[in-house]
Amino acid sequence: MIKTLLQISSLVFLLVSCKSYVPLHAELTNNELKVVENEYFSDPAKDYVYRAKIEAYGNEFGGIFILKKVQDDLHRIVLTTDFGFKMLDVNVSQNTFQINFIIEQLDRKLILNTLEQDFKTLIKPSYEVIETYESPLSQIYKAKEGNRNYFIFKNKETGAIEKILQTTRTKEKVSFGFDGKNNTFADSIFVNHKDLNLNIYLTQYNQ
Amino acid sequence: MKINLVLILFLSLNVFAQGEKMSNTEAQTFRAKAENTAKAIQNLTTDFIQFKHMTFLSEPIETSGQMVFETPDKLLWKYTKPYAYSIIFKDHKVFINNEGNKSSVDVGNNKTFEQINKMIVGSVSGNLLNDESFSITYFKNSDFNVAVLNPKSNDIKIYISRLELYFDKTSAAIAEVKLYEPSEDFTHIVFKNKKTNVSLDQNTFTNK
Repeated sequence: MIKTLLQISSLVFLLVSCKSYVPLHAELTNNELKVVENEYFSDPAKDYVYRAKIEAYGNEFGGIFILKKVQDDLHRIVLTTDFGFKMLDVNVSQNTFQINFIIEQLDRKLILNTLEQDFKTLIKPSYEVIETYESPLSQIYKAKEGNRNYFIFKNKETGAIEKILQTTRTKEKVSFGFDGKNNTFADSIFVNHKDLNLNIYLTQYNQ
Repeated sequence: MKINLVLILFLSLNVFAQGEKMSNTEAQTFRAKAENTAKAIQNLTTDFIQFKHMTFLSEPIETSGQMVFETPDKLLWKYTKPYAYSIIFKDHKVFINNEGNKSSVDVGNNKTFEQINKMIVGSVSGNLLNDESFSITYFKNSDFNVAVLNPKSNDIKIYISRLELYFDKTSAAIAEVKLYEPSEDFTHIVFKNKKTNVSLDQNTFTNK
């Protein structure tokens, strides 16, 4: 009897723990939108300049984060120190990641892979919607790219993207939070890695 | 013929950018004057505006603040706009205050960092003109005497391809600095409201 109970509870545990990830308080609804557009960083006439604060494994450093759309599917991203010395200079599209300059301290495979994935998510212009959810404040669109799912949270009132959540089938991996009044140029951006000790805070640079 | 024209155009642009090259006598006279000016400095306070120029941006990124230097090698670089950030170079260490978060880095063991620090401090004090680690060429234009410093060390050349120091024609004190990267993107710093040998608060170089 006890053995059977244990087997049932293990099975329930397995079923629960393998349940596909769904955002908190989100309920499945009719899927009306086929494609959701991300308008952040989409204007080629704009210099997107942010003050950056990066927390990585107990270390914290700051600098200036510069992003510019230089071609239809190509963005230039540069990270400099406050003095203006370049730490990283890359060209990024959804299919390419070309390093123009990198300081020795950042030239590590794990760092580069992480930054490549984060940058590609930040500039990804659109997602094909496979499911739509609704929560009290947001309309949530689910998309799938490779082995990752993306949940794009749009504020019901403003229509602006407030969060892009990258998940595996069962758990959250990276959260990109956007805050501000403008749908194309966020005032602040917060990138929070759930399985790495890495947070990136970007605050719009007002000259 | 075409190549010659392009060459002439390029050379004339080069002259335009930095001015006319000084003769050996002119360079020696200027260098002696600049060294005398630098020697007389015990301390220096100034406002600055920093422009970061990158070829792909529509306009440079602007930051501003105050700078305090005390001989021989203490330097406070304090950004106040558009955010609060200060960096102090003192005793081979760098102290940072990033919007209230304080940290320090010991750069004594890192030769490249040490040389870059020396270069920043030297740019401000005007003490770089007899530095053996650069090959230096002197120019003059209507506003400034210009020293163009090319680093000899390959470790430095990765970060800075050349340094242009703009000296006031009358006082021979540093008025502007341009730090060029190998990509030709550059940082332009303009000093304003400069005062020398003033009474400094003793906590100026404390990371507060």
